[in-house]
Amino acid sequence: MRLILKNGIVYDPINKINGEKMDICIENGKIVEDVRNAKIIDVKGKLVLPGGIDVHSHIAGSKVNWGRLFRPEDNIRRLVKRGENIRGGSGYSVPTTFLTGYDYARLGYTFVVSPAMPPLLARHTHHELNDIPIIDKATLSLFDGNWIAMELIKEGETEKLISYVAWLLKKTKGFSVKLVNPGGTEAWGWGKYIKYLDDQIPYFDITPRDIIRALTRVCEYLHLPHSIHLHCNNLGNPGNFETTLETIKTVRGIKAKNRQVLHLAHVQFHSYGGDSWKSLESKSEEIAKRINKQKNVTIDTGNIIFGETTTMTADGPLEFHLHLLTNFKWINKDIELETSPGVTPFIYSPKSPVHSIQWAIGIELALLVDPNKVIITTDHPNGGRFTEYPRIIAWLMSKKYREETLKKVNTAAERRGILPTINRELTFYEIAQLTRSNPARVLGLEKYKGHLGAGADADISVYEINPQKIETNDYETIIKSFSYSYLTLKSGKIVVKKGRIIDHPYGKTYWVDAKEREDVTRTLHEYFTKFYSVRLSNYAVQKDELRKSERICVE
Amino acid sequence: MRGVILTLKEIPKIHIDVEGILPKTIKNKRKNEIEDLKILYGKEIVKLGDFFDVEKTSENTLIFCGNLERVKRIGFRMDEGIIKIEGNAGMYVGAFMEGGKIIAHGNVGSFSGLNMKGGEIIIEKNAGDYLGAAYRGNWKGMSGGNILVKGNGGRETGAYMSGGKIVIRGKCGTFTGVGMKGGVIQTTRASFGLGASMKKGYIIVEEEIEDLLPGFIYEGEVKNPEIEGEKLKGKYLIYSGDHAERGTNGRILVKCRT
Repeated sequence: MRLILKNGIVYDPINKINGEKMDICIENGKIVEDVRNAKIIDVKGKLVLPGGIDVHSHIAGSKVNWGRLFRPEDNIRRLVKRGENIRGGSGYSVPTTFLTGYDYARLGYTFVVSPAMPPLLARHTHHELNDIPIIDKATLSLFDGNWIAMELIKEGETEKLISYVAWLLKKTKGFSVKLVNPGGTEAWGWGKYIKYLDDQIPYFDITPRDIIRALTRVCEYLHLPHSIHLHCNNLGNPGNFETTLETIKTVRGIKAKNRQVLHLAHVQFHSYGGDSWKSLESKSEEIAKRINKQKNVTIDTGNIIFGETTTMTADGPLEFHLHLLTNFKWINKDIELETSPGVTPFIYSPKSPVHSIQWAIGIELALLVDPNKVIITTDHPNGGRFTEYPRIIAWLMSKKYREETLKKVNTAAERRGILPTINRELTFYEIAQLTRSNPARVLGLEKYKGHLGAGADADISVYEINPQKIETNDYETIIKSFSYSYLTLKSGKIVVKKGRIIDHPYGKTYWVDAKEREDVTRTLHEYFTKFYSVRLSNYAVQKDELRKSERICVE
Repeated sequence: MRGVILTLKEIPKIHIDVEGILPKTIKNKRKNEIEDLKILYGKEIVKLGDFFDVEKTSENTLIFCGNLERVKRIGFRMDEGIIKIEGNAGMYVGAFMEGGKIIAHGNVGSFSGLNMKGGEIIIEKNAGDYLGAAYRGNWKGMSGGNILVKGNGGRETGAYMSGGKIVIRGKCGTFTGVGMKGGVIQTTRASFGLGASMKKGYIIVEEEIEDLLPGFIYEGEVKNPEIEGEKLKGKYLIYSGDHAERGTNGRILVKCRT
């Protein structure tokens, strides 16, 4: 299919295009320099951006499914009937697979990374990802409590560890290495609680610092497109910003070719000062300073949105503490020798001093950190639903909207944060960086994703807003126009028109095929017969189990 | 304005879902318009006229007639007007109700008055399980309105309720008032598990109590107590709980025999 998007106002940070009036030509699902006999769509006075990319959103996997199963009251909150081009679905904070795909497409997002897949449950995760229409997706394999990896780190067998990571990514069709509270879940299984980077993990006698360092190096040896994706220790506790700063320092001196070596997820939950809930304060300034100073680190924000949601993470102890805090229902599942995710509902209330500070920190981080290094996320559904991204964009773009919200929330946000003192308002170019080009760079996919130059995939979103005429005080228009894209193109096909789904092709699943140094199957065989409940031969996800597989070979 | 009588032609093989057939929606509609209203037969969308005879009446009410055991969601999300049910009704009578009045002359199925916010339900015979309870998985149930059952109630009546009042003239089933956070349940005879894990609210037992959970502590006697603006007559024993589940403000009142 050949298409020309005419006269749109284009923002494309990777190609340094800042609000120019341009035509975009599309042929065979790719963006090209020029095209003949094409259908012309006039998008005059409208904002044209590359398709959005979400680097951290729990959309598939076993814990997402548990969230759906144990929250029927969340399902009934939002029921969508079958329509002309769409299937029915339900779910407010944890939508069904089809709704997830439709909602992302309506937002103008076309690539989503599901950040936590227990390797043992990779088959489930991939079959669920297969079910999500429209968007491209990738998923990260969890290594935080992996006995084999920890044993190899303890023994100091680097070559074997490299081969094991490569083998596991290949067999589980993972995209990169995810660490959630490294060592924390394993220690919790022994009744211990790890808070700091130098706490010992029982039996293995290594520390979270060892795990982070070893696996960061492995990622660089293997030349993975995405770096290590880290959910730091000590999440959500007052005073945890020191742990975060310490974690950033652990990767000092490690270099990568043209990307970061450490991506910190949902940093908002890791930027708290004070020593108790009563004295909790924002430390976003310190964190932002450190990140701006150190070249090889990027972050995503993890903003919170007021309202009810479901929290789900592979950080089992955290979910248990949340459950004790709220007394709401809670699930935990121990995944043999790998990890231990938990799920519990949560309500962020604007009246609560803690929650209002959390809200402010998320915004502060996005405003203070270098716009080349930060990405907007809500850690869906932990901080809020991904459908609330337009509101975050509006908070970043409009000081007036921030001030109005500050009036409605607990005064603690004003007293113990620095949000009122920040006058910065992000431009459309910077928003494009935060939602398009940065994620593409961080994931190492900037060749095909996140830009509109020739050779890129034709994933494009067009919004009904004129960036040259809009005033930042008019935040309602910003929210409204970013909530429903005027046009979303996926691989050159129009999938959304004026906020309505008109087509639902299936996207690809990206995974990494890295090179093993040596054959590890013999060591693994021992482990599997001794400890695992499955056989080694049944562990791997076959390539034809993915609906549309996109293999990325790395040398 | 006049009302409508809907008479079920014959008992359907599977459940009919009459969500959306409310006094508000039939108001000022002609007979053929009412017959054309859409309801669900299993998963198929059918017309109301396919299963019900529609008749106009001078009474200002929506009346359902016939054996309605396989008709569910009568008065679902209702907010005004009056519904009368002449016969036994199926599940979800008056669920998510916000106002108005439902009078059921027969038995009603489970989940009646589910997550109710306001209005009134009167049941002349027995109610099923989960009367005035919370929707599956929810931790907030009925928050307002009144339910009166002249027969017996089922299991887990008023589960997780936070407001409103349920009165049961007969016996109520096991785990009545489980997880209560407010409101009043008044019953004549109670079964095992009464008020388990309750945090707040009142359960009043007028005659007989089968067993009391170990999480409840005896607090003393009281004469002619006043509960949420209503005066009771006689002497009552007060228990607080459920201490086993961090609850201290829940009260069970049991009437003394003498």
